Amino acid sequence: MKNVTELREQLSQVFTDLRNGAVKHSDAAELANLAGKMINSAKVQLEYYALIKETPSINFLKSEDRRTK
Amino acid sequence: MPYKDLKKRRDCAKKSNKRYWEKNKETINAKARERYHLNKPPPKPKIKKPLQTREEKRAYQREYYAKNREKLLEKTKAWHAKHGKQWREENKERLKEWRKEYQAKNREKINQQSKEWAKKNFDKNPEEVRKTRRLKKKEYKAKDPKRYNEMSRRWNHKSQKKMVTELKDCYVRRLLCKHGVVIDLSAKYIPQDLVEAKRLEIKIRRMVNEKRN
Repeated sequence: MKNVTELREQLSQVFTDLRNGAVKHSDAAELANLAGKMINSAKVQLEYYALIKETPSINFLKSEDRRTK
Repeated sequence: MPYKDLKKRRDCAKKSNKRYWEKNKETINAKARERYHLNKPPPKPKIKKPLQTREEKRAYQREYYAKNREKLLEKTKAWHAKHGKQWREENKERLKEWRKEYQAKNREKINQQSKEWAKKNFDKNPEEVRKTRRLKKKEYKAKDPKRYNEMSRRWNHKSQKKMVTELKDCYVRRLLCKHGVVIDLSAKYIPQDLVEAKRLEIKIRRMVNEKRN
């Protein structure tokens, strides 16, 4: 997972698998926990940029679609 | 529609006869002369029977209206242009009573119509719709503040519940802004992709909790 879009895709796949019963709920919980950590780390970076009053340039938040544009 | 009062009926008939006479003087005289030469009795006048039952009257009114719709509309328009303002000022209280009665009778219908109108016209003229909403809110608040407060509390509670269950953008953004390590972020700093990732995470957490229970 290099950026948010990939994380989203992964999470949506986990969600559908969990609904179908292909993934155990304990595994899904672990994955969700991990995703939460990643989101929180991105949030901390955003807070930092907001504090120093700069426009954030975080690679994790830059999706491939935007890069191509 | 023929008058119930005989005197009025007679007066009306006289007037219309006079008008008819003035219009068709020559033809009537010619016919009378013809009848005189042929030694014929004069024709019997056609007398309309007064309408007795309510249904008869309604049927007559409908028929008359269908025939003379445009003429009648023009007439009423002209009357309103001439006397409408004065009449409204004179009958202010009566009009209020009528309006109240109508609103009490057709409350649901009126509410539905206004909702439909707002839905239709919001895209066309959102400012006007917002303005009317604001005015109605003010009116309602001034009328019964206790009830207004109660209703607004209920509405807020309902909308909050909906926001949480449906994981709306504003709710997820609020969650992300809360409990910051350095500062509490404002919602504008958070990109939409992050919001969607957070939403998916919450969805998974909720489903896991459901399955555990």
